Amino acid sequence: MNFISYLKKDLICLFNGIDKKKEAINKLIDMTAQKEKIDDVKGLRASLFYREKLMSTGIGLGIAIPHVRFKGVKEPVIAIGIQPRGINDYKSLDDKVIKIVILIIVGQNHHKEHIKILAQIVSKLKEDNNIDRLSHAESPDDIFNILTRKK
Amino acid sequence: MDFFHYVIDKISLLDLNILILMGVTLFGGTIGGRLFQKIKIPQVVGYIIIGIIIGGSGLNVVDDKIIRMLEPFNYLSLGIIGFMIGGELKRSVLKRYGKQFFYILIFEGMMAFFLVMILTGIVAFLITKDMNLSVSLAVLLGAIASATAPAATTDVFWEYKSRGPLTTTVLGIVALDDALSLVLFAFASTIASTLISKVHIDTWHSLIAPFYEIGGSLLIGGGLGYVLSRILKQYSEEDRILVFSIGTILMVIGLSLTLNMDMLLAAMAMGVVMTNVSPYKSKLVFNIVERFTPPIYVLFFVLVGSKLKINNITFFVGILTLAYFLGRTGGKIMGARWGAILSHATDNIKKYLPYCLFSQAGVAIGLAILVSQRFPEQIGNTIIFIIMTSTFVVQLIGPLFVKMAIFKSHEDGLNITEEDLIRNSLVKDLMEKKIPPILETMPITKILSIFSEHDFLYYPVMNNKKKLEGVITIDNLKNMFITSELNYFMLAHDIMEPVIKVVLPQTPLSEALDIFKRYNLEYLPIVDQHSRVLGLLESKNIKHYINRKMLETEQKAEKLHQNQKI
Repeated sequence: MNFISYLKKDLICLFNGIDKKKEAINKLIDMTAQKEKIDDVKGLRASLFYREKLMSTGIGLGIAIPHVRFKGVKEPVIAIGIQPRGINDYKSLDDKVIKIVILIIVGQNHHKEHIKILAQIVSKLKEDNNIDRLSHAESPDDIFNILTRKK
Repeated sequence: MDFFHYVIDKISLLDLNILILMGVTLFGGTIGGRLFQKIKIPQVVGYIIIGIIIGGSGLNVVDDKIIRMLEPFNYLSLGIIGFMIGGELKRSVLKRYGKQFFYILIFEGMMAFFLVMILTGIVAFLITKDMNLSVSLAVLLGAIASATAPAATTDVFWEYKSRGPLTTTVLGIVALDDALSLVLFAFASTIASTLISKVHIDTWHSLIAPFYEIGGSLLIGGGLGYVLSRILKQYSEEDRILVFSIGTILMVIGLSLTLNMDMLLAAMAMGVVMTNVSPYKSKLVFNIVERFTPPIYVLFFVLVGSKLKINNITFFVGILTLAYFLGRTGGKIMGARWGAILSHATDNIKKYLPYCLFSQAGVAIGLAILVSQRFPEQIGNTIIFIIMTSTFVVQLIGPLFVKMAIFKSHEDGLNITEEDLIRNSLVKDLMEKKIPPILETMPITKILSIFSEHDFLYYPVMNNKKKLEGVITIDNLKNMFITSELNYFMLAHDIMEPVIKVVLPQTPLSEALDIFKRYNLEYLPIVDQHSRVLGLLESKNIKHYINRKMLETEQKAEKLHQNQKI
């Protein structure tokens, strides 16, 4: 299983004009709700923000990975948004400004997929200069290509 | 109107009576039993009193005709009682208590026999001045007096789950003294016949009759018991075992009836053979049969009560009854005590055994009925009345004394089964309280260290208000071993499992077991009314708990047995 097989170009966007954490996450949720079949969008939103309340998902190096296991989700969903200017109020473990937000939604019982996708994405981002490249990506296609590029 | 007549025509009063009455009997008997149990009197007494109320001495709802109709049920319950009692006579028990049983048996039986014979003989002669009649009455009553009824006695043992040397001894004695009583009765009836009857009695026949009766009963019961234990070797389904066992019991009592043998003795022989031929399998068999017995027992005891006619006492019969009662009780007390002393039994047996042998029912009543068939009316009716009345009195007081003896000797509650334990336990009795709480905001690194410091497999996860949010299992944590990179930003919340079901501390264990089964769970979080985490129940711990508790009572009972050998 590789996270790349779950990447979809139409779930990748540039956060034009969005520089607040709440708006950024909502934007990714709305985008997902449009393209994917989510039964309970309200509940999904609530659980994502509940998780943020427990601890911010800004994991450092400018990356945030809001993630949740959610009832009724059949296949993992990955939605990505980039804000080169940074999202100022997104708290991060290393206090660096968050520029890349990757939303991950998996089924409630998909414990293993959940961890695997997270682990693969983190290691993919750490490869080469991927973080830097993504921060300067100009289109969803760019982002998709960076992430799917073989070493 | 036509319809009304049609309905009336359709009602068969007899069918209506017998089935409805059986229902009423079971219902009323059980309620009576419950009421008496509430005031700490064994349920048997309640059954019998309900019997008196609805029987010939009371409302006469259950009359002699109905009692006769229900006789087969009585036989069946006597058969089951005999079978269960026989099951207590294991080879190991006989070996351990053999000598003691023998002494006590001979003494309590013979003392009751002699004392009753002397007292009733004197009283009868003083009143009737008829030597033949008096001696006949006296030997017959003496022989009947030696029997002790297993039914009411064992019922009390079962009710209070008793176990220990006293229980074993009483069960052994009540199982064996019917045989003694039958032998004595066989000879007594020969003597009485010779004294009373003008008809020529075939002495040879009278002498071998008892051997035929006892030997035949043992043969039937033992033989069919052996056959049953061979058959049951191939079956493990409970319903089959039940059907085969009850079927065999029915055959044993039916054959004994046909061949004029003692059905109680035959059923006992069957139990003895079963328990000794295949001890392990029989444990299951006896368990299954025991579960089947309650309705039959209730019916049996209610019918015993309804047979009692307490309203036609004459002075002669009254005083004779008193003599019989005093002689029997005194004889049992003295005999049991001497027997216990001579056989070096434990103090508990010496002190309390004498109070466990008062009960008298099936065998005594059966013998009394036999007397009424074999002897002229005067003797027959007198003996029937004496036995019925004294049975009533001892059945009322007998169980009370047995109960007292069980509690004084501390043998109560030691004979519990796993089902009893489950029925009487609550979730909180086996709740694991020492599980360290995991907060949902706890990072994986911290959870790993908790797992490494404790042995639990499941940890409840709670929020900052202590409310249960989920559970983390070792499997959830194992997934994290894919990489250590996530450990510092993944939380308990991210890896916990949702809660499927919870229980309260006061939830009965049986209910918790149902939930485990129905939802196929391995653990159940325990919460209070506000869903705050209190602990966790692991399904594997239930087995441990039950085994430990069973072992504890086992040891307690074993200790009582060991005190035996000083």
